[in-house]
Amino acid sequence: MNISIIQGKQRIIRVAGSIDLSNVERFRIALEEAVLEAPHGFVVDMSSLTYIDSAGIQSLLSAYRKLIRSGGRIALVVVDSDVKDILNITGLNLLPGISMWDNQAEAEQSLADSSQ
Amino acid sequence: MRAGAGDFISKNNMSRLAPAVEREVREAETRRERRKAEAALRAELEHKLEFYRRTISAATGGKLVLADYAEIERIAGPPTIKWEISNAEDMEGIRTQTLELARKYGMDEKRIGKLVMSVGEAVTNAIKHAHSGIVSVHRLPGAVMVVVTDKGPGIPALLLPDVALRRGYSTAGTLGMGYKIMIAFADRVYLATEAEGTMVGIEMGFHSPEIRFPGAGVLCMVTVC
Repeated sequence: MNISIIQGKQRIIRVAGSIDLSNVERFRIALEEAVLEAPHGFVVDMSSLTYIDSAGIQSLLSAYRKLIRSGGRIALVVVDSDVKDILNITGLNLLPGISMWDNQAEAEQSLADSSQ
Repeated sequence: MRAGAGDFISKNNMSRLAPAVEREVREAETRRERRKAEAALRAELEHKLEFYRRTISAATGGKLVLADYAEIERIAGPPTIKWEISNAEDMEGIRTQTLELARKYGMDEKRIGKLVMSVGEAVTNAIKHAHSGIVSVHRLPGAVMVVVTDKGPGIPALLLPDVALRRGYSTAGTLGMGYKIMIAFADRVYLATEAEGTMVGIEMGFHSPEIRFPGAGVLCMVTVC
């Protein structure tokens, strides 16, 4: 799994490959840093992610719970249908501070809009 | 009793024989009553367990079936292939091999992804809670069953409904989401959890159930989220 942090108009955590128990710790750390560095919100670009399991979802959820205290939001870029399915089944897509987009530009824009 | 009675007679202690016999008869009666009570308690327990199993099955639209090791092994049959898992790094390989096997069997591509995710969750639980386990793949008519067995602490029965059924995010520790995902994605999940560990059987048809059982009438498909 590759993680890169990009600072564009918004902070972007880009993950590629698979997130599972073996590497979820790196994902968790990246999310925690983002919560501290970008309390208004950030993008998680999962467009190159082929697999994420409940461990990965749990990390997103933990970060979300901390972020929501400062009114922050998480914008997800999701393309893979299996990844979408798992976000739907775990109900992450229903959380008020989490949004799903199919490209990075719209995800970034959504954060810019909401912080106004 | 007989030896005791014989002893009384030989020692010419006849006056004490009658009370001794009476006492023995009373004690035998007590023992019989106790055995009857224990049998009744066992029957009641079995009855409650059966009620519990049927409730879980009904509440999940038949997708989660509480079973025991023997039942799962009987349904699964002999394995096509078996793997030992001992750390989280093993999981990616298991997922890939499961995917390739399912593809070889001709499973619908969409279903393969769901099977792999269900297996991933079961394997994650085994690694997290037991640090090791065994994964075996079994061929069923028109379907595949992947069995994940571990020698971990098992799941306390009282936690099961919360783990398997509660909507939203459960506080039942870290077990919560994995089972919800398995139940939602697989066709059926068999779960046996005992003192010596946990066995999960993930059943997935090659094609969606309507195609698997043509002419079976209207099937009630309940998706539990």
